[in-house]
Amino acid sequence: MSTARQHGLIACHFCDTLSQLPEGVNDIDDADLHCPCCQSAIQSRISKSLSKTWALLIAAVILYIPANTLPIMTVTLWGDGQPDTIMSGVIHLMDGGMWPLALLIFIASIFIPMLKLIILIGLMLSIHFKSNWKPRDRTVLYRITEFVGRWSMVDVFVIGILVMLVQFGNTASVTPDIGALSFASVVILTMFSAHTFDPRLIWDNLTSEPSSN
Amino acid sequence: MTELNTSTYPSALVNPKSRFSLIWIIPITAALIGGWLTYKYYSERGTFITIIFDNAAGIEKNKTPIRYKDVQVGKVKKLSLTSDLKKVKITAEIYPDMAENLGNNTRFWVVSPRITLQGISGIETLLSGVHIGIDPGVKSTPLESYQGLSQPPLITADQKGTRIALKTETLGSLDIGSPIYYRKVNVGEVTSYKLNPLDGSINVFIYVYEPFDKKIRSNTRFWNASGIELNLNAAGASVRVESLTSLLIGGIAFETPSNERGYELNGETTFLLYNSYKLAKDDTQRNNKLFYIMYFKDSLHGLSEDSLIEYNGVQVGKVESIQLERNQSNTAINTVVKVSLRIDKFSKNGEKEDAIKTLQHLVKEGFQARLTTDSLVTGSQYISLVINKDAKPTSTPKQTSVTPLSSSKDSHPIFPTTTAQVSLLSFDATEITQELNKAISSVTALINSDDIKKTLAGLADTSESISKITSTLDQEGFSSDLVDTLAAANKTIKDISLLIRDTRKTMTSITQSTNILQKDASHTMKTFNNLGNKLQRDVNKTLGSIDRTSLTLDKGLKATLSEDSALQYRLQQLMNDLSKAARSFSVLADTIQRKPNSILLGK
Repeated sequence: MSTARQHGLIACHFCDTLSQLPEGVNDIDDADLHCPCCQSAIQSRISKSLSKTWALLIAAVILYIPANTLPIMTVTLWGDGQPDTIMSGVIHLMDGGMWPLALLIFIASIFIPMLKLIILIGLMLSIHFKSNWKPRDRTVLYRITEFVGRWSMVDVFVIGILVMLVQFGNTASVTPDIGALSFASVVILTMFSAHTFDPRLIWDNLTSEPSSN
Repeated sequence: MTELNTSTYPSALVNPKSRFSLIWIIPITAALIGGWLTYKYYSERGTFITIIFDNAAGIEKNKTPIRYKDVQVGKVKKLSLTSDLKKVKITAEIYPDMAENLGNNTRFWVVSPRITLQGISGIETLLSGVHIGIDPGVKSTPLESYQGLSQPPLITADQKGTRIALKTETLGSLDIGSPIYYRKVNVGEVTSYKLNPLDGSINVFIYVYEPFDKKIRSNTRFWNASGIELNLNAAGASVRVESLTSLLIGGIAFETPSNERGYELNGETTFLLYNSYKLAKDDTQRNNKLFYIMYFKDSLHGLSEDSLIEYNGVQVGKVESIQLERNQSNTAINTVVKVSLRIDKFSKNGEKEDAIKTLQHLVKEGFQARLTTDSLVTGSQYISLVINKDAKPTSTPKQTSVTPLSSSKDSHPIFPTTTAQVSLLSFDATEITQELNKAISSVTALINSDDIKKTLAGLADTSESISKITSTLDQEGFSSDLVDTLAAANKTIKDISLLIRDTRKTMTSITQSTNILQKDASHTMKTFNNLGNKLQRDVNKTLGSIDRTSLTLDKGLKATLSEDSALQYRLQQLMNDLSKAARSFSVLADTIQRKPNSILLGK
């Protein structure tokens, strides 16, 4: 098994045209390549994929801490309210007997972002250490991560809608807190880092030491 | 692996570019934000302290705020019981701004709705739940653990003033929070009181705000201004009320005499709390008085402690005590009156030696004390000082030893006395009292008479029937029976007018019969003419008055019951008002029937 790159070829993601990698270019990944057929930008490998992904991932990990420890919103009822973090909100819902909702928020807001960060870090490390471990499964993991990422924004949307709708002064009002911003940043950064990650790199490592797969 | 013919594919285009990767700005920014948040968290993290409360009414973990001047300065973090289960231990976080200002006299209390006679406070906590109030006090080394107060402190650190202790015999209606008045301006509060276990007196601690505390000097008099002070004396009656509030919850007033020297206070001072304004005004300090003893041969009936001593109508002293004393030589018992004379009345500059000299000189001149009747009604007496030129100046005030029957061991100079003048006015006041009693009993009889009772019963009946009407209206809906009720009302009006006509008829017949009686009487009078002119005149007069009375009665009844009389008019008006009310009730009922929610929401 070999990759298109090994054969000096590059495929267009839009029109699937297979073209030859041009000769005499120093850094082929950093070059601004275009499909000869549809003129759309094409890349053999995403340029500086690893460093971009690492940068975004590290930023996401840093912001993940305030996103979970700082309050995301304050619900004021009858002039009396207290800020809630994501976890305290989940606990409140559980106390109130709303198990399905608590589970939904827990999965969407705590579990999935955490899982995404872990998977991405794992994939990055596997590439870094040129691992040969199940490349197909790793690609599947990457696809899942990419797909599920946007659903974490549910929490941010809920806060946005609540803040917009519930504004009755002292009677009832919802105000967003710094945690919401951090959380939205985490979700966006992980989405971007998943986007900048190039799964083709998983396969590049295999070429040096082809497995039976 | 198949060999691809790569030469057939066109070569991709190359656009040379060289760009510095800015992607690492993102994690740097994130790190900066994270670092800033961490710094903020640690810089805003407050000091943790423990507050012990008797109970945790309404306090919630992670929720109840600690507020100073309605600004949140902390939060309750943990609630637990003390190991002996007697108190509640609250762990609270105090934010850095306030934590800097904590001291060893910082006070905490739970703010909850309170309704007292002084006012209502903490209403806002009805909706928001209780919070903990804090008075930081003077900045000093903070404690680890504080004792929470059961109620808000009356005086907080930002209220400047002076704390003063007052000593009194009884607390009266004073309580914590009772106001302090200076010229009827509320200038302070009673902060606490305690019973002195040694002498049974009560120490009342008050707090007088700035700048009024400057008005308190060493000669300031405090008196209990609770309730109404009623004085009845020779000068007449006077009523003194400090304020309506003090009538309800007691109060203390003070005044600084402007004509006396006084010193500024330094440190906490204890003052005497007088029971009334009068006592406070009259009483002078013990070292402003001269004590003497008087022996009277007259009855001391009507003389009491606090009775006045006057010279030419000027009050110069008062009776301190009255005791009985056994004469040393025989077994006779004398009355001993201990009096005090005010130094300032006998000496210009208030010096004791000067006053004693003046008095000794006066006594040599024939200065004597005499019992004088003060009021005829109450029979009270006072001591008047008179200069009796005939009196031989034998007993100058000098030290004598007395053996009182009472336990008092004081010995004072004896003041010369003379017997009371026999006065025409010194009759028994019981006669007047009897007259008063009679008047009172006749008033009581009038109140207890059947007429009044009947009237009251009639009134009760009326109100009962009114309530019956109301209940009928309530029960049977308004609209259906309204017509009936109005018809009945009309009928009643008709009946009333019939009744009035009947009454008028009766009245005419009464007048007629009175006339007949009059005629008969004059006839009889003629027959008995020889019985004497005087008697005849009297009878004539009587008859005349009877006639007049009947006429007046007739007129009065007519006025009361005639069609255009006030009573008639009012009845008519009442009926009109009732029908109007019934109409509006039916409108209301209709509205409610159509829209039951209009009670809550309006039309």
